[in-house]
Amino acid sequence: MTKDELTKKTVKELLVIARRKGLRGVSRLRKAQLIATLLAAMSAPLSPHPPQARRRVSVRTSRVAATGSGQQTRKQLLALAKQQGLTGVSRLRKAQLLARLVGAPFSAPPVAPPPLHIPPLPAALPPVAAPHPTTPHITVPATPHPSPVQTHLQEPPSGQQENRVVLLARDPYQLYAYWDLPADQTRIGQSAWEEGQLVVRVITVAAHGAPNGREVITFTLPATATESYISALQPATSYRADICYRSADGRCTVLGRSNIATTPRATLSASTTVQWFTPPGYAPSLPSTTYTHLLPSTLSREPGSWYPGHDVPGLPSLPAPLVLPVPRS
Amino acid sequence: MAKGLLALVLHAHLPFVRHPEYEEFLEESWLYEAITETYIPLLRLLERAVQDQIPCRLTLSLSPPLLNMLDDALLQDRYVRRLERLIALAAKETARTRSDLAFYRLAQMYLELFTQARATFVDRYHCNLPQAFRQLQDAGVLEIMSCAATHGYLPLLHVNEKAVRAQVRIGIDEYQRFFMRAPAGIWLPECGYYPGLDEILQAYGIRYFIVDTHAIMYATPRPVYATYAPVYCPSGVAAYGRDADSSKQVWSSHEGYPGDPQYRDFYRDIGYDLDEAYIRPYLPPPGDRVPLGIKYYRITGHTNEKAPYDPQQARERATEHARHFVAERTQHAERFAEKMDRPPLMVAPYDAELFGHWWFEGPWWLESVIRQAAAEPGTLQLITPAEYLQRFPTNQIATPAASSWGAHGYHAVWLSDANRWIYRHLHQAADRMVELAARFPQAEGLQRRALDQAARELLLAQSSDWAFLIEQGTAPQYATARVKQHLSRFTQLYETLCADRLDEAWLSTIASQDNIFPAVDYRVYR
Repeated sequence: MTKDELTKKTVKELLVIARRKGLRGVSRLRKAQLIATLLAAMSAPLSPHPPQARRRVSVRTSRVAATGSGQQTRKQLLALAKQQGLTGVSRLRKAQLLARLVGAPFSAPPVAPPPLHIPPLPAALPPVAAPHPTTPHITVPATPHPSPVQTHLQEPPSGQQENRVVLLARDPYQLYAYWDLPADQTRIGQSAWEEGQLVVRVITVAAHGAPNGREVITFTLPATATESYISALQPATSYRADICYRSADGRCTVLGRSNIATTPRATLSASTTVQWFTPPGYAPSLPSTTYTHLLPSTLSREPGSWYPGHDVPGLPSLPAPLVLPVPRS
Repeated sequence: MAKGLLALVLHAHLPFVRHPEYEEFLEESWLYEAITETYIPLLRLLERAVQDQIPCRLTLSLSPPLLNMLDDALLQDRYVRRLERLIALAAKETARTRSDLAFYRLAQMYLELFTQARATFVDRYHCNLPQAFRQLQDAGVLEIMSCAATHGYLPLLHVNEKAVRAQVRIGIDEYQRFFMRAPAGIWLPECGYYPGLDEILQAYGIRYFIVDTHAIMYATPRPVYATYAPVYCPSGVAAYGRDADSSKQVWSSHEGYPGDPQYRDFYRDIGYDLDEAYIRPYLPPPGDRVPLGIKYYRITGHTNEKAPYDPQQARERATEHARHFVAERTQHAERFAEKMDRPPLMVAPYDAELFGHWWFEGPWWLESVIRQAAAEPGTLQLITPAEYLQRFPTNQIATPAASSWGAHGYHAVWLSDANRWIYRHLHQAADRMVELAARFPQAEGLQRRALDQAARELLLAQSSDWAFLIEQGTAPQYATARVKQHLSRFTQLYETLCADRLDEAWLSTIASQDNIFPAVDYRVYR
């Protein structure tokens, strides 16, 4: 964006752009200062922050800016910090508090120890009592601890210049996609870019990526979006996502195509073919004709006692729940 | 022949936490607590099995980060200092509780526990626990499994297959460095599996891995013996499914053994209960109250009025629970034995740190299960996965379903609202590491050191623990900081390598801090 283009915008519009770029402390700048700051930020060859990080900082900044925290007293800031769930803030000075509020945890000085925290005692059960066996790593109880290792960290910078779309399966019914489109954002120009929309098109892919897929979901997002969940999908199905850009005049261009992601299976396989295998060098350990299928007729299980799908609200229920009576002594 | 076969599998892992840049560091306590409460009791119970000639067959995975920490002189030294401070505290406690017999005996118990831990660690094992585990494997009571290099969650890394290969390959290299042999099996971090991963394992000579129940139940084609026998993936690597009932009896909040009122309460620790001035000299910096490992109360029930802990009664209860566990498994095996051509196999995997750390009586329970199974060989026989494949090499071919042992059984714990931001950076860094390995095929000197360090930083950032801790809200600031620190260091290495302006002093500093995998070779990413 050129200086002329920026000059034509209102202060409000400039502030929006600045925040999208993750610039802090801009809310009280005059228009000329804002333009200078923006031009300086744009002249950097590569963004020092990845889009994801930018977005997070931007949210924090605007949250504080909206409350006019620069003019607030330390007491008011403290109340705001507590309201936002920040811990270990009671002994901070005003400037430090402000830094915490605008989300600068990686450049802030070490924070004073928080008030002593005694965990609730009526814990009848030790913490192995997770509702299901997640891995209870050894941890100290949640005592807020301003770990000194944080004080000299930076956000991981991104220097990527090629478009990239990545698709990951979360569970049998949901995918997660993220994308970076720096090449086209640069080509189209930031201000024009933000006037358009992104179109996410999800396509099924046959086994081994054969190109006979069908489009299952299409939805639009603001041009500034960098990620999305994609829900209401089918288990054991392979998908691909295309990210397209629809400009303000309606023209649509495919900017990136993702890898293929396959949702996990969530039901018994329909195939009951049995094929035995004995590794080379071993004598077969059973005659391949004597077996009985234990599934599903001889096994049954209480719903919810194994995890796939049963207890996830809003997901399709699984066919043929297997109920295995728990033996009682 | 036994009615059923039981494979007890423990997974021992902690993230790599080592901060030489600080005199003391709170999160290093995770290791120190686990050594005292889990690893030493485990070694001692296995040693007793060897002495008493008990036919013990236990399977244990020791993750490479844990092995590297156990092998680290700085952490060993800090652990001994920590123990000495606890011994002093326990001695002070025996004086403070002298007028109350119940508490006095408990204080003495802790004094003995810490004193013995020090004697075992320093005098008996010469601070070298990996070697102690190796000797037990060589003695035949233990089968040690490999694990991915830094416990990376492989289903979310495999957009770059070389990143997965490096995790597997370095895990196996580290296994060979510590145990002087090739591993038979690998523990997939968080039991995270996706179809095709077995092909990578097969390429590195792995013969088996363990998955959660539904990975086998939903395998394609349908598994004939459910989880009561392994299946071979099309690659020929065996996949063992977790026995859901064995797990539930130990893990479940409702039916699980560790919640018994006789057992020690984890939360009532003198780190919280006693006067701050009294315990302050024993607290690690920054001096916040944290658990110190001296706990005087039992769970008692759903009440705040906790009764004093009675170790004798707790031990008896652990023996009863072990008896119940063996009986249940035997009964279960009997139900399916007639439908199978072999005894049903039940695979019971647990986090090792559950035993002793979270569940104080866990090691007693485990020892009792081992001894009871040995005492009645006609009922339940202990077996390891590799031994099973020797005895029953013929198994069905099926592809397990993508899965994990985390909440809801898939990948959502490690890809949630709180932690999903990690992946775009991890993926980009992995691509860049592959790019570096291609660009510098035969680096030497400073360049080589920088490339090896870049591999270490990437691997450390990939640890599944950070995503887990962020999602669980346990030490999320520390976990976030670690991800960002390793990625920042990686990026700086990448940029300075590309621009040919390496900073040797800075490289030496970070290499002395993130010193995991001394023998790593960046060319694993080619």
